[in-house]
Amino acid sequence: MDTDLVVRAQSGDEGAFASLAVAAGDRLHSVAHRILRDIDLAEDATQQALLNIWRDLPQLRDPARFDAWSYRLLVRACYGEASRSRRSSPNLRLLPADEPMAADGMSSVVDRDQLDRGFRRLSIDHRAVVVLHHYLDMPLEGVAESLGIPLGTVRSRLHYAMRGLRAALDADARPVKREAAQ
Amino acid sequence: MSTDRDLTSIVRSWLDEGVTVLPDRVLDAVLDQVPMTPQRRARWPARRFLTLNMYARFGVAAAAVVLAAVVGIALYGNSVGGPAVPTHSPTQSVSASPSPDLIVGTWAAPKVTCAQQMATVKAAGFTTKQITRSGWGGCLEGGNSRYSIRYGEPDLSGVRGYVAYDNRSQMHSGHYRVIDDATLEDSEVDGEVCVTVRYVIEGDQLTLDIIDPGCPSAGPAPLLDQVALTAIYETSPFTRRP
Repeated sequence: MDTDLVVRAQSGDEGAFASLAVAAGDRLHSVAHRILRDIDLAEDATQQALLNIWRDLPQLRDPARFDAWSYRLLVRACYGEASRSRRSSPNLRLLPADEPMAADGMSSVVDRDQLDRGFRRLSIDHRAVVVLHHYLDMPLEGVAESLGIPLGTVRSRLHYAMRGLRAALDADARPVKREAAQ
Repeated sequence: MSTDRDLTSIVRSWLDEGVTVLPDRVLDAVLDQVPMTPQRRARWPARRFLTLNMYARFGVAAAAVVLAAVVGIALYGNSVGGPAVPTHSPTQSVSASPSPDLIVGTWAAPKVTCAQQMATVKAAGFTTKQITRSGWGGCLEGGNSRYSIRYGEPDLSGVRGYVAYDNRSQMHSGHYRVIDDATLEDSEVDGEVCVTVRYVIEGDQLTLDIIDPGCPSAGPAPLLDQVALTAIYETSPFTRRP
């Protein structure tokens, strides 16, 4: 990220911020979509995050850390959208799939569906760590810096998130009888 | 599922699928709102103590000396046979704050003078040289401040926000984390400034005391923030606002 743009935007230059937003918009939206798994929520979260970035930019002390800082604001916006979504959505319960996991596992539609279900069961905290680390290839130290949490917490969240995803895949791999939601 | 590597590979492959482009209409909506969205400026003015004229500097120093003398006499008086005065102890502090959620709400301190703030900062161990070097200038803003802090409820993810004000001007904001019944960490919104604070709630009174200029997740806060937060938090107890 061009730190000169960041500095100019910090001092209220709307043109510089527009350039920043264009440059950062796609990556922020990609991350929001992967955390929230919903295109509309992701658009709303990205929009809110960009506005929050503009609003709080003067408080960023080191312009070189803009990228990491912007992810933190994005994840916070994702929290907000997720909680709004929970309040406005009917209380649906997902049913386990009948199909066992395909033998080759890796790229089947069933796998993706199971992963999606497992991922949606994770909290936003856990999803954010998975996405930043496994989608952006961010080292764990970078994830800790971006989210403003200790490295140990990142490791712990990643461990439990991956365990949850594994459990989702393994559990859904076992043939189960479809049950009606209570 | 065989190995962790398999799982990682599946997850990475799955994450690679999905949108990567922000629609123009979203970007347009953001840029339309920017002119109507004021930026939050940096919190406390960083004017140099050196900009004070000699008389003002002398006044501040004299006030600090007088206050220190009064405190010293009071402490000495107690130690040489005066009546026992109840003091706060860590044990009392813990029992006085049975629930971390007690801190949620708005707390206001009475008006404090520049001299009181300076005396507090010095009593906390900062030297005149450090205070000067920090660039702290909050004390110079007309000399009087009326601080208040609003500690928010935790949101669904457990994140708690706080905002500190001087009169009605927002000084700084960020997040706070309750460690236990007597300790919390507060960090600025960009996470670069984090301090560990002991808090004691007795009735409708809140006392704050910075016990560590950093947090386990962050190094020591810059000197300016240490000095400014000391002045805000420690100059006077806060009273709960309805």
